[in-house]
Amino acid sequence: FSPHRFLVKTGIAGGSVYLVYDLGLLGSSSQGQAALRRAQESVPEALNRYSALFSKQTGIHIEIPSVPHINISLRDSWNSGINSLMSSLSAAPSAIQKYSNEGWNYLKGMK
Amino acid sequence: MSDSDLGRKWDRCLADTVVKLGTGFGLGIVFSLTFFKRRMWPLAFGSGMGLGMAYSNCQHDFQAPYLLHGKYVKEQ
Repeated sequence: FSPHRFLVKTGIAGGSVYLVYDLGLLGSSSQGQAALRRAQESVPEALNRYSALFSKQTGIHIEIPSVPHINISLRDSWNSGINSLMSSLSAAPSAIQKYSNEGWNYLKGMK
Repeated sequence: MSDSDLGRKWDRCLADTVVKLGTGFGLGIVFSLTFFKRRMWPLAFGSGMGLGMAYSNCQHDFQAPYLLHGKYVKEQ
């Protein structure tokens, strides 16, 4: 057991917990949303800056492609899925009756 | 609750879930590396805690218009 090592580990763990608390990541949902928005704004900028610095130092040119903007409305997809499911369920008895009549008539015709 | 309010609440809820899950996972990694000899259970525990906190926040957010806030007035 090394007290120095223990202190360093406690410092790292405690510091990370404090950092997370200070950034508001463990707070309310609006604070979490604001933190995500801040990260979305700052991370691409930081990546571009560091890639420019890296290419200046080493001479290797790195180009990070931009994140594609996905425009899927989950709510609209979900709502249209529910609507089509319910309309098919409501039309199911008459459709079953129609297909059974057709099948029965086909079988009668075969005899 | 209007449609736009509901949409905004869902957006907030999903963003918060992502943040809390990531935070819990990250803290789980830190604790796993520092105190728990690189075991897997702190990661699972941290992720689970983050998800639980996010669920609780979402629940509170969606129930908020229906919760009544009152004041308790002490008799003098």
